[in-house]
Amino acid sequence: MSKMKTVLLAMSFAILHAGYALAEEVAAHGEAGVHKGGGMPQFNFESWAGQIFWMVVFFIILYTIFSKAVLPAISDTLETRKSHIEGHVKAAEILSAEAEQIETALKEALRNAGHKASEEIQLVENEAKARNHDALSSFRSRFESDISSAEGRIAKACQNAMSDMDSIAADIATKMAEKIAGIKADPSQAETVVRSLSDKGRKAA
Amino acid sequence: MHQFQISPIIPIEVGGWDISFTNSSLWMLIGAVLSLVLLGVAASRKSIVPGRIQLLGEEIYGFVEDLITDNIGHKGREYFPLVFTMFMIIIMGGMLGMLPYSFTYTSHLAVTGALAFLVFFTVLMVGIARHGTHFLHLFIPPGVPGWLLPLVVLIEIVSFISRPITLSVRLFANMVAGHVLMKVVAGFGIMFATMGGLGWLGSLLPVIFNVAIIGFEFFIAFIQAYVFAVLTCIYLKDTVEIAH
Repeated sequence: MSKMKTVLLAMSFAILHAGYALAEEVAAHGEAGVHKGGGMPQFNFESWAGQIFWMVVFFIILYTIFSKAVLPAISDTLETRKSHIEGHVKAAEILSAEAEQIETALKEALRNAGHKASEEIQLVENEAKARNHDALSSFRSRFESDISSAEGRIAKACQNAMSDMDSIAADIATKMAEKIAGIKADPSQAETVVRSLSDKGRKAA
Repeated sequence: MHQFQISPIIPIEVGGWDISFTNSSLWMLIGAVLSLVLLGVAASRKSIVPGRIQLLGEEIYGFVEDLITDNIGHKGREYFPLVFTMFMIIIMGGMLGMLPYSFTYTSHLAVTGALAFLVFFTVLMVGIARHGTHFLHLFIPPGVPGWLLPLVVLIEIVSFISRPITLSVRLFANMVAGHVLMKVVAGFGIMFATMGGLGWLGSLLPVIFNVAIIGFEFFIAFIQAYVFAVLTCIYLKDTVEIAH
């Protein structure tokens, strides 16, 4: 605060000093003005020709230099800047369009790769399935043939056993007839009878 | 009125005409050199990213360009150097006039009158050369009833002729009034200061007031250059197209 006060004080003194000087000057020139007849210097027509002449001279000089050199140069610079900026904007637009293209290409490639991959997976899967199926079916057929051959063998054994049973039955029947009735029976005849009987039974079953 | 006094520096007389190089001519020269240096430097830089001076030059260029396109249209480009020179001369006059001990050459009716009549005769001659007798339609506004026409035409002619007078007197009077006001207020300060004793305290008020006026005067120097340029554009528009 005190600093500002000192500054203000100093300023006031300076103004005061200048004021005295100006006052003296004004007084001196005021008197001179009165001696010349006073009035506004603007309406002292003696000076008009000179003023108009010099204004026209400077106007022509400025007009010539402005219109021939300065203004075209500035306009040129502004034009250059405009085209420079426009060029950059256009380049940026082209680059962004390119980037977009690349992006769509990338997406396309990714999609294609995905498709291809899934196709390949499908292929491998199908192959595996087919191999699996083949292995299974060959196993099954082997298995089935084994079963059927085993069944055949079982049936044959069964048949053999049955025919043995028939001969045993005929033998037993002959022996029974001899022991019980004392009839001598022909074993081959007895076998025929037993066979026909067992055939009948088998048919009935 | 000492600040408006014209005093010769190099006396010249041609054919009975006193065309001495005066303090007024000196400040015209300073203004012309200053604007040429400023704009010359601004124009020669040609940088894509402008510096301070180049930017200032380009701002002035853009300002006048907008003024012309707003008031005349794109056909007004042919008047660009004219309006630009007018604007530079007047703003330089006003701004340099704010320097202590300088001379405000736009505070003289001879100078503002010369500039105003330059505009007036440009409009008149280009208008007649381009439009011929059709230029006279300028004085006949459309949609005026016949019985009123003589009066309206008279008013239009008077207003057309008074254009250079109003244009020159406006600028001259503004410059004179501002400078006289500054001097009067400064005179109050001196009056208080010479009273002796604590009288110098009373001089503070006019000093503060003058500081505000000086700021305002810079603004007026710009506004008057702007107004002169705008009115020049509006008057020049009549040579480009007549509204009816």
